Amino acid sequence: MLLLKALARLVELLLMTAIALTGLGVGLYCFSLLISLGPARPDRLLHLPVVRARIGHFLAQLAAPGPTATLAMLGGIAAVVIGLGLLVGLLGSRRERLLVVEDGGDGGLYVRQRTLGQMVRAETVLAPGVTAVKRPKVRLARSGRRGHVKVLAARGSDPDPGTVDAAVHERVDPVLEPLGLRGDVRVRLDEPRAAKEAS
Amino acid sequence: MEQPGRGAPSPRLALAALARDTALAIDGVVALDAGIGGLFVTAGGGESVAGVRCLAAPEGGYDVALRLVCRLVALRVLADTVRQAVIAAATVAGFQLSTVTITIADVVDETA
Repeated sequence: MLLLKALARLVELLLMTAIALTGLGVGLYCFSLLISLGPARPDRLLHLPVVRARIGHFLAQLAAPGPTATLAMLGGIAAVVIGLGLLVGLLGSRRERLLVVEDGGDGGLYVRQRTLGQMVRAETVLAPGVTAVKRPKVRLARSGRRGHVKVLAARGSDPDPGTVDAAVHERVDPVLEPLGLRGDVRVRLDEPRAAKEAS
Repeated sequence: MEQPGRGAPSPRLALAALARDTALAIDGVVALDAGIGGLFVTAGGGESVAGVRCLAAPEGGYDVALRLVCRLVALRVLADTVRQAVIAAATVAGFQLSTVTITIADVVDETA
């Protein structure tokens, strides 16, 4: 993501410079239709007749079916993918998501969203009867003051679901409650393991 | 504004180093985190203290912010302990602190 952001910044700068220069050239060309700019013909300065001569042939091939058109289509798809990546880099949030636990006059206490998931997962794994835990999904409110953690754990056939559920809550609730987070704990039967145990 | 002499660390750097050492001495704190791109630092005079940011507060004193990597412990209690320890150490060293902000950047699961 960091690399994508840096690339997006660089491309943004180069693209903006190119667009600005082209815009200046086109503007001058339009201006020259009203007022003569003498020998400083913007279309000549931008070498537009040369560009037309060079790419005109390619554009004609592009319009007709054939290998050039296929190549152009692949290029177009690549351009769309790169464009989407750059958009993500440009529009993606640069601020890390933080849970605001305290925000008082003498300072605050903040916890990273990713760290919350790690903590909940580490505690869930330790609950008796839990065989596996999917990475918890942490969703924070825009203000960062409230949040919701979804935990999906798997259990073996023994002990019963209620016992495992209570054990998970016993481990996870002391983590979530002091931080003002709501927990959604779901415990499901680990079917491959249960089948193995049964055979 | 009075500038520190050549060779002497700036007050901000000295305070950042003090806050770092104080935080690391507390049970439950494993390390300090320099943040995304290693930009969460206090730097000056060719030196830097990673994971601590010290800024002069508008109302006087310093705003200190720390990014901690800690063990799986009660975070509120740990943050209070770190805050009190940093304030106490800074006061002894002659610094006045305005705020101490703590961000839990990562946790280390030692049972894994």
